[in-house]
Order: sequence, then C-alpha cells, then structure tokens
Amino acid sequence: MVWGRANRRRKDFEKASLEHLDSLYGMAVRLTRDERDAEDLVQDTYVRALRFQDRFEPGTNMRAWLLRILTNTFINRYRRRQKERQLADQLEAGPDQEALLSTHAQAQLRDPEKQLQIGILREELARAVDELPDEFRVAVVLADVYGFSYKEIASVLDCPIGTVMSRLHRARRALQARLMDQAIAAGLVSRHPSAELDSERAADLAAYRRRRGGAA
Amino acid sequence: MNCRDVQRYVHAFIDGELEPQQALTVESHLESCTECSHAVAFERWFKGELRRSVGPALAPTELPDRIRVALGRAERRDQVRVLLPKAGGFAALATGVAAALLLPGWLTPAAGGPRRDSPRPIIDCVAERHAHVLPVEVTGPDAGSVSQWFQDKVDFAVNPPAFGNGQVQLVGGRISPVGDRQAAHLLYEHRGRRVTVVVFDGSGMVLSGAHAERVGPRTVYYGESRGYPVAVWQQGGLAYAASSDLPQSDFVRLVSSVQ
Repeated sequence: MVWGRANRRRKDFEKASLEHLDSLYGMAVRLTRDERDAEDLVQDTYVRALRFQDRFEPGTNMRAWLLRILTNTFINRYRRRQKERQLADQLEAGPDQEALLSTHAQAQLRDPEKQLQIGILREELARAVDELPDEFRVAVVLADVYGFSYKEIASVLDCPIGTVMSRLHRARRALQARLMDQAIAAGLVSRHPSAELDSERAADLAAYRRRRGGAA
Repeated sequence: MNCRDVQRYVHAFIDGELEPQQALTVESHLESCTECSHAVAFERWFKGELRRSVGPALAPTELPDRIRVALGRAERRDQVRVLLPKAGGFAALATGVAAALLLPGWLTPAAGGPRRDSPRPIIDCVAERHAHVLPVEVTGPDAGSVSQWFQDKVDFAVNPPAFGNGQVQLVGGRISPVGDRQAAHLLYEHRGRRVTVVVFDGSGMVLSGAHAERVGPRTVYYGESRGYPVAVWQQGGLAYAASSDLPQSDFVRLVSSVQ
C-alpha cells in the first residue's frame, strides 16, 4: 500500500535527520532567542524537510540542507521586527571599520593568562550575537559555528557572496567591539595605550553620517 | 599585497575562502609583517571564541519524540492533502486549469516532476486500489440496490455514476477508506476490462496541478499512476476518482460520458 511505503520512507528520513537535531536546535535557539520558539521552529523544519525530502540529494550534506530549511523557515515565518530592521540598516549603512581594535587591545584579549577570565565573557558574547540583526546573526553563526562556506550562506540568505562577506565582516567587528567593551568594563583589558583607536571606534553612526554628509 | 589589502581580506583568509594563490600572497605578507600576523591570529582566536560561546546546544530530551509525532501527523496529512481545504486553493486550481490549456496532450509529465500540490496521493491511491482486484461486497448491475447497500455504511449518498454508452456494467461495490475518509469503491466492467470508481466526501477538496479538462459542467483532472490512467472530478459535493485497464483514449472517452 501507498501508506506502508510512505511510512518506511518517513522512518528512514527520521533516522537520518534526527542525528542533526542538536545542531538544528542550537541554530534555532540562536535565531529565535527563545527555547520554546526554538523547539517549534525545529519541529516546523522537520515537517518541511519531510515534505521536501525528494529535493535532498543523497550523498550531500544533510545537516547543511536541514539548517538551510531551518533558516529559511525562520526568515519567512518570523518576520523581522521593525527595530531589528533599523539595526540592520545601521549595520549595512555604517562605516566599514577596518582594524577595529588596536594591536595592543587584540593582544590583551588573546593573552593566554587571561583566557579563563575572558571565557567568562562568552556569555556576554553569545548575548551580543543574539542582538545582531537576523541577516548578520545568520551569517556569523553559520560561518563560525557551523562552518558553512560563503557560498552556502549566500544561498541560505539568498544574497550575493559579496553581501555575505560584508555582513560577516561587520558582524564580527561589532562583536569584537562589544567584547572589548565588556573586557574593559570587567577590568580585564586596559584602554591604554590604544585610547585613540578605541574612541574612534566609539564614534557613533550619527557622527559618521554627519561627517560624511558634511563632506558631500 | 600591503597591510590594507590583508586587512580587507582577513576574514576571507581565516575562513578559507581565498583562492590558493591569494592565500599564498597573504601568507607571504604575514611572514614579513608582525602587525598583520597578529591581526590574523586575533581573528582566528575570535572565531574560535565565537564558536565556543555560541556552540550547538543540546536539544531537550523530549524533542525527538515530539518531532516523530509531528512527522507522522504530517505524513498522514500529506496523504490526504488534496482533500483538505487549503489557503490559496482557488489560485492553485486556476493554475491547474491554465496549465492544462497550455499543455495539450494530457498525461504529459509536468516539467520538474509532480508538483507538491498536485493530487498525487489520490491518484496513487486509486490506481493502487485498481491494481488489486478486491472482492465486492454488494453486486450489481442494479445501481439502485448498490446505492441502497451503501446507505447505512457511509454518511453520503452513493449514486454509482452511469457511463454514457451503456456498455459499461456495474459489477458491484465495497467499502474502503481514502485517507481518513470513508469511501465507496465501485467496480465496473467494459468489454472485459475493469473500471474502478472511488466515491468519497470531497468537501474542501482542492484539485490542482494535474492536467485538467472541461467536460460539460465538470472539470476532470487526469493523471497516471502505476501505468493506469486516473481521472478525478467533483460532483454534488462528492469526489469521484476513476482508474481503468482501458487504453487512455478509451478511458477519457468513458469518463467524458459520465452522466
């Protein structure tokens, strides 16, 4: 019977796909920032994946395929809130800050003797990731946690690779600045002697726009 | 390559996204530039730090079961998806009709395989049922008595359709469900060939994607499964799905003659 065949197909799918549950759940938590929403999102993802399973090419990376469905489901279903959109616009339009942290600051953060304390800031870092606008968060998490290639991220976000690169770049810079702020606040890193660079980084978007507007 | 270039490409470099040649150029710069080499080390460290702070989480222990249940439910729903009211159904229906108009020659496989919302499950189901010769529980050829037999067995009126040329004989009928709906299974014979007609409550049914043809007041959707032609149409709130051993052209003619 049709039912029996479909049933077996589903069981196979279930077995193969549930191996990636932790990955999917982790991503869902990052995306929704809420454990219950994350569970719902993961469940929706599995149902959609089952429905589209004939589009999965056997032998290719199933985890990547599932993560792509999860992210697409999230982007389509959980529309960005207005606030996030504004944030996204800011990050997109903001100055492309290169060499954000001074070499001195970088060295302090990476100081092997401070790693235990810096590790305490990881929670802060995770929170900072959560606060990134969707597109940036997706790019950073897929690249850094799940090891997606730029091409894969571009296909998930349906944008050019160049956009992925710029989002990753900006997202990481923003996160690094945040980590630095936290480290300074925690007294783990001193501002000196890179105060100049740090204050330059702190210059807000409005000021930047004023400058740019003034120059135009 | 100078420090500025390296800074611009530093993320692509640590992410392994540079072409081998580009990566080599960056590496050779790093050998001679302490500052850039520190910057790269920092970015690598930060990438790891990110992974450590945002690593994959452990899913709640009850989630796998919850997903299994959802998948089972989804599968059952999909089997009878064509029976369930669906948002955008009218648009899908219109598309189906348009597709049929654009694609003369029914049963031509649609490009890209069956569409998700085509009435595949029903078509498969009916062809499957036709393939297995099942014993009848009530015998024809009198449509009236067959109809009567169904009266206390299904909660809709079963009026075995009459085929126009009068050469198709009603052999009998039996009960068998379609998805989670009860259905009347009717068996006919035409010059030694079997014709199966399954009747069920078609309320909320949306048919789309298949090749459609207007036959008088009805739209008949054609498909093929297991090598058998299948036709699906609606009438008086009921859905009729037919399949047969007859050659396709004869089958179409037969279905067109339903009164």
